[in-house]
Amino acid sequence: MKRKIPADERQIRDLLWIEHHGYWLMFWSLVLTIFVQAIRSGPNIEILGGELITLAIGSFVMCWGSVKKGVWTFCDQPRLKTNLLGSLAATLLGTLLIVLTWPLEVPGVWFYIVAAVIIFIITFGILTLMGNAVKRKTNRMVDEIEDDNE
Amino acid sequence: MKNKRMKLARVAKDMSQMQLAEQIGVTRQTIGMIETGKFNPSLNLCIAICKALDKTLNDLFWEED
Repeated sequence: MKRKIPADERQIRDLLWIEHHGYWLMFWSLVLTIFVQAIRSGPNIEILGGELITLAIGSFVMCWGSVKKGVWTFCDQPRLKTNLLGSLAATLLGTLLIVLTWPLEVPGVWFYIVAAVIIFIITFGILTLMGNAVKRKTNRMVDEIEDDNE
Repeated sequence: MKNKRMKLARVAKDMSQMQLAEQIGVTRQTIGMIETGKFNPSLNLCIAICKALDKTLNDLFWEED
């Protein structure tokens, strides 16, 4: 008789499905919470710090996992077009957060423009680096399979 | 799609879903879901089921046209 395991492969699949949906629900709830708190309290790092660090850790784990496993998304491969779209979405969200946090009369319009450019450069750079790392990992996996088959 | 051949093979061996599940280390619900076609098992699990029922992969899992 085989050793009885706590969860079989069907249960593991179902648990992963639950965790997947739970993770994204928490992720976007956290983003919403950051927006609401930012609007209510302004640029107060003491209030927003915990949420921002949690979001950063969650995002880092997702990025690190993608690179380590050589996978990108469910429906696409790393491409310039999707990197640009992703960066633009992040820029819009990030700039909106800054606009909501800092009223217009305090820093001036230039501040928002500079912030948007910086956010775009950072996110586009991270996505490009990640995409290249995922491609390298995928190619390495193919090479290893070919070596094993020879 | 339902896997009637697996159910027939299990019944022919006079095994319950629980007995088969215990033998291959999964839950009874998983066996039930494989037989009713609600869960596609991995190749490893297919092989374990075949060994437990003394059948081949072709006997239990190959779809005829």
